[in-house]
Amino acid sequence: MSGRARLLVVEDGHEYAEFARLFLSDVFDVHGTRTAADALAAVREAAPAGLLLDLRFDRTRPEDLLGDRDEVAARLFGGDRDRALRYLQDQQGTLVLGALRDAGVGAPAVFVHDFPPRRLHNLRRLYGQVEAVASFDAEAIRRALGVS
Amino acid sequence: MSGGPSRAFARLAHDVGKYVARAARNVREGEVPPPLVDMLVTDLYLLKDGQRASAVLARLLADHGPEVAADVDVARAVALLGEADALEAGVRGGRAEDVRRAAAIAREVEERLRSAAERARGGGP
Repeated sequence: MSGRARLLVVEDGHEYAEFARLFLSDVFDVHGTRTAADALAAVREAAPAGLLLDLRFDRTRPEDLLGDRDEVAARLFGGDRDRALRYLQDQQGTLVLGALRDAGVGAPAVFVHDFPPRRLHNLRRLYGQVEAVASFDAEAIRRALGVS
Repeated sequence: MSGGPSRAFARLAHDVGKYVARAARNVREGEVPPPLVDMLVTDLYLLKDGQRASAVLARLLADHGPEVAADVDVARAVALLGEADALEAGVRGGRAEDVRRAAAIAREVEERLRSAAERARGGGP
């Protein structure tokens, strides 16, 4: 244990964690996870000071995605399970954030994504402190995480 | 490909645009540190499953309708990544001029693909 604040990264690959280790490890102990289940296990182990979240999880096995595919298919897509899977993949980062908030994690959350303003407003209404940075700009991400 | 053109453009912006500029967005004036050059090499030439960014983009375009590939910003991104491929030896070797040009290319590819995605969802010019 380093004693530094933990940055929890949740993504379906390795690019965010790699980036965070290069640009943010002077202030954060970077902890990478690949699924909602892993992320929830990680926060039980240590509370994060920041969250860095991917949005689309198309490299994750469908059975590891958060969300009930059949329920989403029935509720939103007239029973179309393919469309439900794409929805869960496309929205997985926000679903993971919801699960982390439900687990009591209030740390600032940063997406590297150019959300339209209305979408970002809705995310903040639902999940509190949420920031969106349009690109992998290290200085902008540091600011979004509250690092000067 | 399914999901409509808006999703197709969003996928190009996410899968190629965002990741290809991961290092390039952080290249500053002066000498580029070796770890940043290494990440730039990964972003441009090993973007996904060991494939070049140009190949990843080509594969995604093959999955979509011709109207996606014909988009002016997407077409420009394809051309830029072709130019980046020609710089590979210099970038891998850390040649400053090639590294800087490759970083500029990566940034423009991100901007082009984001612009195309914004237009497709009705939020841009």
